Amino acid sequence: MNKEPPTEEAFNKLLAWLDSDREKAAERYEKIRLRLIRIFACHGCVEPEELADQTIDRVMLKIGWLLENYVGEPTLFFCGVARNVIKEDLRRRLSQTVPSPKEEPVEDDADQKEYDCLDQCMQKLPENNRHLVLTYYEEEGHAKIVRRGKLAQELGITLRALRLRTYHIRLQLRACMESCLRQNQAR
Amino acid sequence: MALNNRDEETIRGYLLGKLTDDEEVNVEQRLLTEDGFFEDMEVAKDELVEEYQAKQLKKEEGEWFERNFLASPEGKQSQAFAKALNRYVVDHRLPSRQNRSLVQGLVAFWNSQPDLLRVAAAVAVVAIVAGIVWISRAPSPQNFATLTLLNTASTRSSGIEPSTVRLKEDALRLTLMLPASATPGVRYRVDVINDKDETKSYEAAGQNAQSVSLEIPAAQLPPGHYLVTVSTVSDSHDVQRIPGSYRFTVE
Repeated sequence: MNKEPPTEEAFNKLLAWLDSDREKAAERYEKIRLRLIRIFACHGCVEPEELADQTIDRVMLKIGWLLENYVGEPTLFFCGVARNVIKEDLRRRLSQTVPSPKEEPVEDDADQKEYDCLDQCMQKLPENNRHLVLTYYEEEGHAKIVRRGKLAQELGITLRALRLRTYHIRLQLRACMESCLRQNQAR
Repeated sequence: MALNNRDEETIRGYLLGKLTDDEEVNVEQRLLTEDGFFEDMEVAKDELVEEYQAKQLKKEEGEWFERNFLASPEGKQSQAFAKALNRYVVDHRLPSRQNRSLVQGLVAFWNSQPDLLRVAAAVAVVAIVAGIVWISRAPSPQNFATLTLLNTASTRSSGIEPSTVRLKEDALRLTLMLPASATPGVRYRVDVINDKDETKSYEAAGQNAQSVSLEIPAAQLPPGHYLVTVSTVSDSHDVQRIPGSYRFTVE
């Protein structure tokens, strides 16, 4: 894009548009940015963070007009802009040759480092959470589904609650593993 | 907002590229505005990575997932994490699983198969057992009525008067003359269509270059008009119908 980057004034106006309370507006801004990143990732975008920023910049460039004319939920406007960014990115990618993920070499060494880090992170988990992860991933195929249903029953929670609980443990593990990998790389 | 199975299907459809443009927009709007929906999307991504690695996705689903979510940096990280976690779980299996007996192992293997496959396997076992029982109990026909029929393609007429048989015997032995132009098959399938348009298929019991023959129990041939067609069946199970047909009447 050749347009000028948005100014600080535009940024402040954007926050004001999101919420009159600046703290809440900042939280909302972060939430929108994170979710845009996730949406771009779902579409296979290679640089989702950059595209999320590009989307926000485009909204900021229109903030004067939005403040005067736009009626409705601000996040929905972001969504419309993001759709255009996705289409442009897809066109760009189609015009380039992108190697398929299958063609990438298998990195045994990287796999081992990831495994070692995960091992360390699992040991840091409280015993009940570690046990929950091991039980959740027990079995294969249909038996896994049955096992998870029984596990939810044993814990007295719904299957959805169980999926969310394990998701949060996985999030914790992933953050720990990535931090461990970064530390190893820095050494 | 409470999420339901339909939301789960929608999320899955979104991640596997099965939604229309309008549906995608709707999903993205909800992702930006509904915390619960967003969280379920995150869970669904992990589960799809798990299924992808276990090769449980259909070919086209797997390919879509590879080209989209898995091609993103987040997708690559998810895959690396899932791979490490899967290895960890295998290496640290719970003691109850490690001490399984062979029977428990077989039960677990059975349980690990998809529902459809288990139902199909169960139906197949029941059919085989029923077949064995039927074969061992059903008396073989003792005497036959015989009928030799010409193909309408050979006689160049479909208006030829059908042969008539009065069935007092246990079965009818049909010999169907093949037209000279017919390409020989490895096996032959014979379809017998009654005047209610119901079809019964039989495997030919005997065959040579000129004819195929089969035996039909009398109980399966109530009085009426019958149309018969013959098809060749190749080694690769391709079925090719031989032109023309055969007609007969049971009085």
